[in-house]
Amino acid sequence: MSWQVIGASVIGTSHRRTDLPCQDAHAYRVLKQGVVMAVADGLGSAQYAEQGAQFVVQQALGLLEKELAHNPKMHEWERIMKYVFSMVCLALNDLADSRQHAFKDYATTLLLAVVTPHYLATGQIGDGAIVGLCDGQMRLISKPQRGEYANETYPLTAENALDALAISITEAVNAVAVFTDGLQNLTLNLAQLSVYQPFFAPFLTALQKPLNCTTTSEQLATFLACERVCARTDDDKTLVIAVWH
Amino acid sequence: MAVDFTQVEFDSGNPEPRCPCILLLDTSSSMGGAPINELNAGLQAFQEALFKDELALLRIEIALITFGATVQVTQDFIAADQFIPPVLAVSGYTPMGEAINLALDKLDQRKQIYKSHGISYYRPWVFLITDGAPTDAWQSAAQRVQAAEQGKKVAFFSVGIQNADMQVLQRIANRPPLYLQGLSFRELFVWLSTSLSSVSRSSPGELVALPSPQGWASV
Repeated sequence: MSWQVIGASVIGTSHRRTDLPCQDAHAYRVLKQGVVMAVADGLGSAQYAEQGAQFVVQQALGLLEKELAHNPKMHEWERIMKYVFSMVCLALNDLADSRQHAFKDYATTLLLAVVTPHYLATGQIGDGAIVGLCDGQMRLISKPQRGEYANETYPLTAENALDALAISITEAVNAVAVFTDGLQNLTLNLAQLSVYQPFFAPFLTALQKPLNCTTTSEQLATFLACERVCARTDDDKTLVIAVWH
Repeated sequence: MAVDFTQVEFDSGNPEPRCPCILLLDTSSSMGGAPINELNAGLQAFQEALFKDELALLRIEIALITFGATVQVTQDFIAADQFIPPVLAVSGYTPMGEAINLALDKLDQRKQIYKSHGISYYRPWVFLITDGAPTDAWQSAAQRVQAAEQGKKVAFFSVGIQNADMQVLQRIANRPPLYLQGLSFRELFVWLSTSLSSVSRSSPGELVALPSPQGWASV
C-alpha cells in the first residue's frame, strides 16, 4: 500500500488573453514517511508572480521534506508549519532583494499539506483550499482566505502575512486534495464551506487502483484546460490530489 | 484505469460575485433639453453594452439615484440583465449632498445583504454625473466619500458636464473629476459598461486595467 499522487497547473483563459503566463505553481514528493504537497497562486498584479509561486513551492517542499525526515509527532506540526512559512517568506524576500526588486512583485499565496499514515497537517496563507477524505466524505480542512472583495486575498508578501497563517492538524485521512482559487467555485459550496463530492469522486475511484501517475497528471492538465472547465472559470487552475491505495 | 474526467461534476450552487454600481444622476432644471435627452440615450447605450457581456450580466448590479426637485431611488439594485433604463425628466435644484449620503447608505445596506447571504462582491462603484454645483450642504457628504475611498470601501467617480463646478467635484472625491466632452453620454456609458465588466471578472491581486476615458472625457 502506498500513496498515488497526481497534479497539474494550467493557465487560465484570462491570462491567455492578456499574454500573462500561468501564475500557479505546484510541487509534491512521495517520501518514505508520507507525501508533502505545495501549491501557490501568484497574484496577477505582481510583476514576477509566476517566479514567486515557483520559488515558494520548491522552498517549502525542501523544508517539509527535511522536517518530515525527523518523524515529528502530530502536535509538533503547529510549530513546524510556522517555521516553514516564516523561512519561505524570508527566502522569498532575500530573492527579491538579490534581484533589487520589490518584495510585493513576487506576491503569491501558499498552501502546504503533509500527509502520513498517522495525521494530516496543513498550512495556508491566501485563497484556494485543502480538502481531506474523512469517513468516506471529502471535508474542507483549510478554507480560502479572502479580503472584503471577491478579487482580494492575502499574499505571503503582505505586511503581517504570517498572522494570517491558518494551520490545521487532523487525524489520518485516506486522500488529500489541494487546489487554487480557480477551482474553488467548482469544488466547494462557499456559503456553507462544504465540499462538492461529485467533483472528487471520479478521482478517488481511479486513484485507489494502481495507475501511471505521470500520464494521469498529463490527462489532468488536459482536463483543467478543457472547454467545460474554462466556461466556469477564466483563472489559472491547479489541483494536486493524493490517494492512499 | 484512468480518471474518468467526463464524470467529474462541478458545483453550480455558488452565487456569482456581485459588482454593484450606483449611478448618481443630476436631473435639475438646467439639465433640461439636450443634456437630459442625451443622458437618457446614454442609459440606453449602457444597457445595450452590458448585454454584450454574458458574465457581466450575471455579476453587475445597477442602482439609480436621481437628484433634482427631490432625491429619489429611481431604480433600486437590480441585476444588469433586468435593468430597464428609465426615461428621466428634469425639475428643481441640485441636492447633491443628500444624494451622495443616500448612495453611501444604500451601498452599506447592499453589502449587509450580500454578507448575510454569503455572496461575495467587488468594490462598489458610485458614478456621479452633474452639470452644476450642489445647492445643499455637501461638505459632510464629501467627508464621507473621502473616508470611504481611504478605507477602500467604494470607488467614487465624478463627471462634470456643461457648466459643472469642477472645483467642488474635486473636493468631493479623491479621484480627479472628469469633464464630459460635449454631450457624449453614449461613449461615457459604453466606457462604464466595459470598465464594470473588467472589474467583475478580475481575480485576486489583479490590477484592473480600465479603458482610457479619452473617448468622452477631457482629461
